[in-house]
Amino acid sequence: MHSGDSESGVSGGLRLASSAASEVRVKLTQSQIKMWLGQKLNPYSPMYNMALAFHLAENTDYDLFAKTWQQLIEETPILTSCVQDGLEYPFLCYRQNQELTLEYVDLSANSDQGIHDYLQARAARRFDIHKYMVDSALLVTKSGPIWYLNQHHLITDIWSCTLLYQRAAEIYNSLVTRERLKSRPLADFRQYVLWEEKVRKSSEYQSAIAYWQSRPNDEAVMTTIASEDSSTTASERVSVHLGEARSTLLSEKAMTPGVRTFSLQLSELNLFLTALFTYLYRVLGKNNPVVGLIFHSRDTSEMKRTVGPLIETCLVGVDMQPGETFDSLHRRLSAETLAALRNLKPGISAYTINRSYDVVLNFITAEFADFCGRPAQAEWIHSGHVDANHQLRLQVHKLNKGDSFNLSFDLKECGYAQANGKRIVDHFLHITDRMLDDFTGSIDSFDLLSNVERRRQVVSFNQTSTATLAGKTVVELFAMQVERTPHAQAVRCGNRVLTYRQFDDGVNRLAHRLIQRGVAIEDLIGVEAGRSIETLTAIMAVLKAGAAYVPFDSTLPSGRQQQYLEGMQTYRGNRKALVLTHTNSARTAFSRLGAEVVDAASVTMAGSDSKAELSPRAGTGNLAYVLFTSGSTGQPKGVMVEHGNLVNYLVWARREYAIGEQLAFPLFTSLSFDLTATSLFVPLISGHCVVVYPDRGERSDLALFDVLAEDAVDVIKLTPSHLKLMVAGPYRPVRLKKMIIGGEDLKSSLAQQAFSLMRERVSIYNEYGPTETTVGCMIHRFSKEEDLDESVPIGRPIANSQIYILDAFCNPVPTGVIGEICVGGAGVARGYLNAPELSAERFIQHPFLDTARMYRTGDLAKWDGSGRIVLIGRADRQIKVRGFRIELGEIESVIESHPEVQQCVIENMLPSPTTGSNQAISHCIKCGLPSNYPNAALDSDGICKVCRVFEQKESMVKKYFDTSGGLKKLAKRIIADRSGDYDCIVLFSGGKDSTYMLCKLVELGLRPLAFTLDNGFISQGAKANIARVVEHLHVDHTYGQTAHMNQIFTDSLERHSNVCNGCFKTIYTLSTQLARRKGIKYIITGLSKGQLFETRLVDMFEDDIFSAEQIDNYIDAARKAYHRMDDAVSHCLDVEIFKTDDVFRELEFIDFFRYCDSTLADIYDYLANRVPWIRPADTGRSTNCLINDVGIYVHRKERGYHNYALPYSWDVRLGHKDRSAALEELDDEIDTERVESILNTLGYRTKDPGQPASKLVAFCAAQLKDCSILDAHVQQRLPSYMQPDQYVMLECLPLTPHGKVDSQRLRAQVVTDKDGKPRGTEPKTPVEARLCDIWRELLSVEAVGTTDSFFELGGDSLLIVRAVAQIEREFDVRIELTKFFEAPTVQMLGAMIDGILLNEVMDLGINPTLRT
Amino acid sequence: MQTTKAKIRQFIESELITKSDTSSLEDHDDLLMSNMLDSLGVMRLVEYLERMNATKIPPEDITLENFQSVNKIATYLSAQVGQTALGK
Repeated sequence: MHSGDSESGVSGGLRLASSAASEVRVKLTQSQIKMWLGQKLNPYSPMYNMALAFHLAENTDYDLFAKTWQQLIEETPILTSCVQDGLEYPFLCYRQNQELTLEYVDLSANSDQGIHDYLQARAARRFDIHKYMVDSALLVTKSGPIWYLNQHHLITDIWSCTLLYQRAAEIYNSLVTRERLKSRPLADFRQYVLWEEKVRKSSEYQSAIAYWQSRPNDEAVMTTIASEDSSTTASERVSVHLGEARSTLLSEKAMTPGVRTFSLQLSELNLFLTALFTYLYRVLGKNNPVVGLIFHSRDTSEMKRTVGPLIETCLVGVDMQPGETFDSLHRRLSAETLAALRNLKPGISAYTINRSYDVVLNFITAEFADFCGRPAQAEWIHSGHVDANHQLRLQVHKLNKGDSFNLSFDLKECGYAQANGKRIVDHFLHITDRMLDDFTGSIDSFDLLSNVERRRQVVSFNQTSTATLAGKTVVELFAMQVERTPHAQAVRCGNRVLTYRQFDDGVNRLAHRLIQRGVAIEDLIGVEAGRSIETLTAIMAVLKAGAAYVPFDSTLPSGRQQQYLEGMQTYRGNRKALVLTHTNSARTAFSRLGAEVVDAASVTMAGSDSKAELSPRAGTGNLAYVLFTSGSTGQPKGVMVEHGNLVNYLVWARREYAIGEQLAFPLFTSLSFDLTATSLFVPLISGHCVVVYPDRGERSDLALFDVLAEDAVDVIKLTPSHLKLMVAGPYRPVRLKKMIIGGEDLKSSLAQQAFSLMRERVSIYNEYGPTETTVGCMIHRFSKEEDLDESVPIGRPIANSQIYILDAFCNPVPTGVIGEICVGGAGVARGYLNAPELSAERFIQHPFLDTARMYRTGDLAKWDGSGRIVLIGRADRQIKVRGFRIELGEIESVIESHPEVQQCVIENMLPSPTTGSNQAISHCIKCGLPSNYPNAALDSDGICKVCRVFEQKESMVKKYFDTSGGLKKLAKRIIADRSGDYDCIVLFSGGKDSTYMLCKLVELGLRPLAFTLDNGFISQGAKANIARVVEHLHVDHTYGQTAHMNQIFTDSLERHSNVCNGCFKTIYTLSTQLARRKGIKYIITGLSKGQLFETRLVDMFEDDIFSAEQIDNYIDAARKAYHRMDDAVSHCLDVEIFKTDDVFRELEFIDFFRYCDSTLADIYDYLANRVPWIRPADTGRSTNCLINDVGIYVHRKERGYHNYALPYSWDVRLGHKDRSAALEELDDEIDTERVESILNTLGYRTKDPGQPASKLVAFCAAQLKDCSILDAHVQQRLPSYMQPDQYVMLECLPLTPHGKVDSQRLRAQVVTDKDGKPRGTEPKTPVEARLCDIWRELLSVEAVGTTDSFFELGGDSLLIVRAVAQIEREFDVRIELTKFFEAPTVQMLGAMIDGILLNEVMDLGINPTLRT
Repeated sequence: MQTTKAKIRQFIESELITKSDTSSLEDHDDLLMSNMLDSLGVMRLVEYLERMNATKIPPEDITLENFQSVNKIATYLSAQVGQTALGK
């Protein structure tokens, strides 16, 4: 065991023998490897340049300064080092007598701007890291000399820069004064490298790693913008000085009680971090941001004088909570930074290498000292590039004495952070001010918008107030039109044409009839809504009668019709629903459903009713129609639209679309679809003609083709899906002038296609609007030249409408931030039928207008830089996969970018409920094993698989146990072998089983040494028992202990979700050491039979290995591997003795209960009567250990079942205890508070097992048969968590009667498929097979599928290097590192290698077919 | 008590700070507000104290009040030892 003393030497490790530091090359440190890798991936980017310009005094002596530089590089060898890529490992190479001159540049003729430009350009020069990594120059300018110093981050950091500057000052001063330098040269980086290597072997390092690994899997701060380009490193720096007042305020705030930590700098850091998190949350819309924090790792005074990259990146993340305040956020972040600092060890950056974070905070504490009495004037020059993965880096620093805080925001070009542009400064300062002003205030509630933004988004954008025909209803507008153009064509269907007068007569007759039947204002009347003149008449008649119509599509399933009718009946105070029909079949069907039917046909045909004009009945505040839309719960929602809503749209649309003479509008879409209102009412109030295209069965697309084929209409309203069909179909109507697209997102590519197919002679309008805001509330006219983004914009609000993008608290979101589209104004419908709660949820109080209401659409959007709204998708199409928030639409657009794919829809398929975790847990009726134990596989009789196997093999299994007389034989054997004071070590925990064992062994005449591990949690009661029992038995006893128990527990929880495994291993290790010291030859364990099965026997029996000898051989081999395994025990304890086989030969382990058959009852009985053993009251279920509960708790939480479930089930099977006793023992009541506090002390966070994974299924209309092509396409473009789990190829996607993609029918396709079938993961070629082997070896995983990503399986940078080396050895193929990142799966890599090999073969002129 | 303070002083002087001139560390010197120790230095000191006393220092105890000077650290440690003893 390590003693505490020997480890305290760790931090003194810098005083290593100096000879060790004269190595000419040293391996790169973990931090360096990250940068090296980044540079490899972006070989031409200067992103790791650290360029500084120091303004020197005018009287600086140039020659002396050159000498200074010469001396500086001579005594600081890292400045002349370079990188060497080894085969398996990259090195930093030191070179002797390497020249590195200081360049003179005369810029005395340049202006300040010229000098600035020069510095910028020079800072962007890239280094060839294999040659040199420093660039130094003395620039002569009008205002004095500037020392320009640029270094590659691989050999420096900002702290090092301050050291170099100070050292240069010292050297220069000594040259000027001709005095000897008093101070030593700066410390050599190689010392640090050696030290880092040493630290990485320490136990503290292990516990730090355990901490970082136990961190919950980080939420990606991934963007939802599809056009992200991760290959560029270009970035823009936006800087701002906080100013003296604000800086002072912040520093003062940092030191107030409740805010301050133990140091000013950490307290300041915590405040900046709080502001940054608030920014990420409020402005970038991240609910659980993760930030990479850069810390220096300069522990000791020596390290503080070392030149080199002594930095580490730690990840800090919190989930934003409801009601979050600056104070509460700050509190949690402070705890996070403190924990991060405590676990900050050199090299821990390795644990962040493949984690997703793209925001970095670098709080720099370094400061430049004076140069010969002159205060430093240092300037940090941005190279114009950052790490390709970083969207936003915030550097906070005060580089020069007396500075206020300087904030430099490095924004990646085209990234989401940059989309917000220079506003970041305004927003960040706004947040900072708010934080300093109202620390206990909510971070949600304050308005972030600048006045300019607010004016533009909230006010100007919504200047839509337009005079409408106030007080008029559609009925009145229609009547006015009849008066204006009585003989114009109003409706046509095929050859049948009705003039306005004729149509109106029919309408009036029916309306009179309805009124006679008692139809009243606000009443609801169903209308059989097959497209026909009769239906149109019915609709207008209902409206004239003052009631509202409810369209019933002919294609509607009867169950759905029933739901509508029930809704109407409820609304009518339980009076029967009234339906107007004109066909016999509908009459019969509705009667059967219990509705009251009015036959419209009989009325209009008879002609007996009055056709006189009616006086207007309904007003603008009365209902016009109710349209049912599908709700997410499966219950349709009836949207109640009033006349005022409808008329506002219609009057606006008339002006927008219906200017012209005798235009024709086709009615070819379903009347139950609100989009159709345009084609129905707009012509009828403007003297134009509705051309009716009757239903063609279920398929609305056929009616579309009728419209196109006839080519007799001017203005068409359709969905993008329709437009797609039109583009793909053969018809090119020439009469069409206007196309209004609504209902779905319109892709620019589609609009472009349609536009050119129509020879650019049509106007294409993109209309946006949910049913709840009446047909359309936003409009944009497509422009071929301007609309080049992925989707056509949705434009501006229509007349009298307001559009806002708001966050969850109704704050307008800043530009670039995703929020919800909310609609106010004249189109906002009354609400949902019979659903006041749902209505109240979606139709809310208008946040900016006191008396108005606003509708929350559930559509996500953001403002782009030019003040346009960009639609992102549905809020309910944003899902979480493995903690990542993803947008299904983004995946769709990536798949659709493949040339062979016409259309793609992603569905998130939840697992079928039978496999869900909520299923009630049952227990095997024989042994009590819970059904959620892996592979318990309870059959229909309720018996588990283990019991079934055991039934067959029981007689064989029992042979291993020697319970009749075995114990006596064993005792005899041990006594015969007697030497020394003790016959054996007995592992005596003080619990009931081991107490019983100890007593029995003493009874048999053995002289044991009892051994107990004091794991720090042995209860007082158990200790008292131990003392009493050993005294009673006159047995010697010893406690073993280790200072590293907590690390071992944490590691055990990490690996096994319990504490026992770690404890057991410690016991074996320490008792083996003890046996060796004392020359004892036997160690006897008290493992129960169940534990023996669990840990040793089950697998062997399953493989039909029954002979005791064979089993013992296996156990022996397993024991060796067990002790040689790399884990916390092997790191913390001295495991030297296990390195050779000697110890295993000399020492025999005996399991007592292999030879003893006593039952639980026997044991309790024995203990009660023969031994002074008292059941401790302080340990919960366990009879000795206080931490046992922690293991049980964690295991149950993480794995869903008790860690004793399997051993106890064996106890039952073997008759050791009965089922009910076992179940009772498993039913622990755990003191959660105590357990949580222990976990806290251990620094362990339980992992959430999460819900069973849902599955992303991609439905593609494509010509492709083989989805692997698509898979490869996607793998190159999307992170793994966004890749579909399954592809379903279809000729075309099914549409709903409304012409939208029918997701229910899509989903049905999968149910009939074999669910959850794994994709092609078996290797198919010899290369793939070999690659799988290599990965298994390198990654130490059991199975590798050909589509698994190397990184997903735990591959890190070093492993890549090794993999590449191994591939080169095996296949004689050199894979570039960048290529490896591009092809992270076996399949892709295999294809690449095959390609290279094939090329080589071809080059050799050998027939490639020979290769098989 | 004297030895504890001496040990702490010695650790700080030999490991964490650069000895400037001849002035040596006094028990009442401000370690934190003077920036003599930075945050990471404090972490190393905490680790050292934990090893020295075979005890855990919980995060909430790492405060300005407890760690501002060698004197305060010694006071904190003796209080902590007392508490642990009472707790057992």
